[in-house]
Amino acid sequence: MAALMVIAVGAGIIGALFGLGGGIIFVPVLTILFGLDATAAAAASLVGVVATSTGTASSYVEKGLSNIRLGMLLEITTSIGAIAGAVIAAYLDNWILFCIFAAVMFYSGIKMAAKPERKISPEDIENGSDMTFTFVDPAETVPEQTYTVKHAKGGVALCTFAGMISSMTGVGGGAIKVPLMNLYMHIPIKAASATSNYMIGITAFSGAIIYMIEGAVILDVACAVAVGAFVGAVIGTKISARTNAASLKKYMSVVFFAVAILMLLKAGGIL
Amino acid sequence: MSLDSKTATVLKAGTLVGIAIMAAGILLSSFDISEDIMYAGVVILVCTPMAGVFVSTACLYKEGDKKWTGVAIVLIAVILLGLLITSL
Repeated sequence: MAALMVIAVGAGIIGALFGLGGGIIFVPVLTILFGLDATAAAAASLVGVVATSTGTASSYVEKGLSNIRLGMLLEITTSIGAIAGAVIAAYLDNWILFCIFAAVMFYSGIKMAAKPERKISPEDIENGSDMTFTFVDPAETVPEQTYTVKHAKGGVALCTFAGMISSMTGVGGGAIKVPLMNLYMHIPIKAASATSNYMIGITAFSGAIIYMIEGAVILDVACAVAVGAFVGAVIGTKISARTNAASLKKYMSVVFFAVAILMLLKAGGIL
Repeated sequence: MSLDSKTATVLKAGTLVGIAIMAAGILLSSFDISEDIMYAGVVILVCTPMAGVFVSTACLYKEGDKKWTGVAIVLIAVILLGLLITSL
């Protein structure tokens, strides 16, 4: 259990920093290293994902980094996509889904690495718009950051796709939502990953509740994962506060390439 | 208190209580009641994000923010529908 907790701490740190729940790490670790079957691993992983999400979101929401309004709006279509994905998954081979996910991750990773950090210019901000938001980031030279969400309708629609892919592959949608929010909707990277963290907990709630009703949650494993993930999430939020957005974006592209490779290994049946 | 601080308070309280109970359950693993303690911790933690959504909805309603209250209510409806469909 101690080893599992240590791994969960690492997953929690990555989850908190990059807006990923940590499921991408929990599931292979629990199946390969701890010999759990896929259902038990997914159930314990979801409890860990909630711990990462709420552990980070409580801090990010307080600072205004997590955008609650936008998160709830995007979560509507993410949830609809997840429901649709669960139905569609029955008709598609898993390896196709993992290849699609890997392609999206490679594309996002390249975009993140190639595109310079988007600076918010005054002409981008639409004063008075209900899609204009403000947060404080002490790591930046100008701590108070204001942004206007662009392509809101398109972003809401694309979140359906994120929910669908997430539900079909069993991997959290944060890896899709963060680049979508940053690259397409022009939300600063820190606000995007913080909002993604907030959303992930809501998505994981539905899955975790179902697993609990079915009695699929192995309690000691789930608790070890959750406690470790929470500690990692707390450490991750501290690191995030000291990291500037440009560095975060650079590291994020590396994480996305790693996720893409993991997905290809899953597609090939190696993981 | 604002929408952000009220929601953050609920998320923080739910997470800390849930994690503390889970940790107690792990520490008491040699006792019969440890499973019940861990289960209680998991339930509290897992329900925390939804508790946050309910509190946010109430705050938005109190603020008279009709548009975002509507968004929050639609989200709750979609999640409940999803739970219903998945459990069938």
